[in-house]
Amino acid sequence: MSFFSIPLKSLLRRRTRSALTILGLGIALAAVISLVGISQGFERSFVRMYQRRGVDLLVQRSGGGNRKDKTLSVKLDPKLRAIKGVRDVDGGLMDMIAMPEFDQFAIILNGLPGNSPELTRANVIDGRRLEPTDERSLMLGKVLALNIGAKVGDDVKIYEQPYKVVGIYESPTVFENGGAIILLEDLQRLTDLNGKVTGFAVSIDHPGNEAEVARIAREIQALEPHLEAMRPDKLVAEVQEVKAAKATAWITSAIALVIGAIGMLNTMVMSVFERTREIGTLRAIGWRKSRVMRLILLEATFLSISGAVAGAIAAVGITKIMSSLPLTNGYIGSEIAPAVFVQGFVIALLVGFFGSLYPAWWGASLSPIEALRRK
Amino acid sequence: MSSPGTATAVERRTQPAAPAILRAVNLRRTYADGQVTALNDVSLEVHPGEYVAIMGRSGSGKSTLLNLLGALDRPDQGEIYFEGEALSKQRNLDSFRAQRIGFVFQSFYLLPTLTAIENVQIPMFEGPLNPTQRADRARELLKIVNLEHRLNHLPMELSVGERQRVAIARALANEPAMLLADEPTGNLDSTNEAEVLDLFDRLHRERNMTLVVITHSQDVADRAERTVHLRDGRIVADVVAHHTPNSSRS
Ligand SMILES: Nc1ncnc2c1ncn2[C@@H]1O[C@H](COP(=O)(O)OP(=O)(O)OP(=O)(O)O)[C@@H](O)[C@H]1O
Ligand SMILES: [Mg+2]
Repeated sequence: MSFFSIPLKSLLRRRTRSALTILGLGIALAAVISLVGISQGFERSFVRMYQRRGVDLLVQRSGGGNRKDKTLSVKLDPKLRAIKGVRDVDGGLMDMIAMPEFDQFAIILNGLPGNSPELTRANVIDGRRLEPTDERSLMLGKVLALNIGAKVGDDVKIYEQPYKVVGIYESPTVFENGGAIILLEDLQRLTDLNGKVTGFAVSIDHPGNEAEVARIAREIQALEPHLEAMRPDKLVAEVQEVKAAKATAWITSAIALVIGAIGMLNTMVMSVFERTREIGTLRAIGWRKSRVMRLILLEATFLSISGAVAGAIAAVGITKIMSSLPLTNGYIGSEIAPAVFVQGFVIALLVGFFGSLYPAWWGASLSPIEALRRK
Repeated sequence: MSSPGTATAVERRTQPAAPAILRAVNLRRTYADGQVTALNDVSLEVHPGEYVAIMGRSGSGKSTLLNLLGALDRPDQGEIYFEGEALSKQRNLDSFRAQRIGFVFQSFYLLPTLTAIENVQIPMFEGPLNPTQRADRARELLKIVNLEHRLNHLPMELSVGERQRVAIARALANEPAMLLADEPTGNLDSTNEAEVLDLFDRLHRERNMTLVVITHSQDVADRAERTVHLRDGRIVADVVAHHTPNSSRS
């Protein structure tokens, strides 16, 4: 019998107790992994959306965290196009609307010009594309259409006004599937933002050339004092909603983690208390403290690894379920980045190790007689 | 040896020529900050190959004495010499216990998640054997205690008598110089008690094992060559048996 097999056998031959511990740790870890994973997926999805559109720089109003009106004037459009190396400019207005009657509270409504490349590129799976001549019409993302049960030809209320569904599109990004597109003029009218856009998507001739991209960004920012031109990935990380989602996820996962850690600590302390006699026996027959500690720590490590695996599997399940609920599937993707799993594993191992360090030390430090007299 | 204030006469055995394996001198052990005197001025010699029973009422200090002799505990006063060396000078009592002492307890104290053969190997982790040698030795030891047919049983799957025999095999794992047993048959019926006592006899006779056994049972004490009686933390009698009632020895 090897030393390693002692804790393994101890865990395998106390199935129920081990299973309960693994379950407790797994649940805590699943919460951490899925929450962090969802928030990061949110950000990644944003970035991917811009990458797919071939957007190299996003132009928007800078800094104004507290400024109510964060829009820009469409008059910037020709000035942007005039910059050398700029291939295309697409100004759009973005709005967030709710349809409480369908449990939808964060629908991204995109106002795009009739000739927007974004419109021409849309993958229409039912009905037709939105045309520049359309009036009071819109296209729905696939998931949104499903969630509100709307078909081509139906009327959908936007700001209390009926809009006709002319088409349904599908996109690889969850936000877009959960959103809707209307013509820019319509959205400007609805939101009293005539001649305004949220920002411009700029594509450039040589996006691979970092120096060139930086030069164009500088030139754009020189156009007007409050302008900001950023790479989509940088911008997304700056978006307040993404920041808020990330912060919320981290706070929630910190709480989940603390609860998980306390659960783990509790389990380890209990398991050491429960086995004070066994520890006393080991010490009485001559096992030194360090060997007893190694045994307890090894057992804790095995438990945490199993808990981490269980948690990872559960996290995948939770995320899959969350991303398929009507309430959330508009903006939650179903994949978790591998890095999040790695983080989860590291956390589980650290919690397991340090959570059992004290009980292990306590148990091993008891005098053997003291330990044998207990219980 | 003298115990001032002890009313009862102490009958001393004649000293054998061999030096004592264990010599305890004026041991004192108190508990609860000196409120309870569990052991008071106890001196005792045990010689190699001797079979000693310790008797006395509950609370008379038997376990306290045995724990001191087995280096599970340190005395407040006095000294214990094992093979001539003072235990108080021993740097590492853990390794002393692992190598020189075999303990047998009333409640066996087997690890419930390990099989018989695995339990017997536990003390060997403090020794030089590799895993294969450990398993081989454990098998041999279990054969000595007549449990070769129960190698892979968990303690729960063994009778109490069998459990105690596994514990005895475990106590022998590192070839100790001495076996210390605290009421080893206290949880056993008479059949199982006899089996354990036969085993002790065999170890004593065939391997010249030194045995110190605490017991409440006269049957157990009758097997020993010598009985030390404790009362209120003092030795009040130390009796050498003139004949052994054990038929197998006559
Ligand atoms: N850890 C302790 N703390 C306080 N008092 C103790 C402790 N251990 C033993 N005692 C006391 O010391 C005295 C001797 O105890 P000991 O366990 O040696 O008796 P014993 O002869 O083995 O009794 P028993 O036959 O019941 O096992 C008793 O009065 C007991 O209550
Ligand atoms: Mg006792």
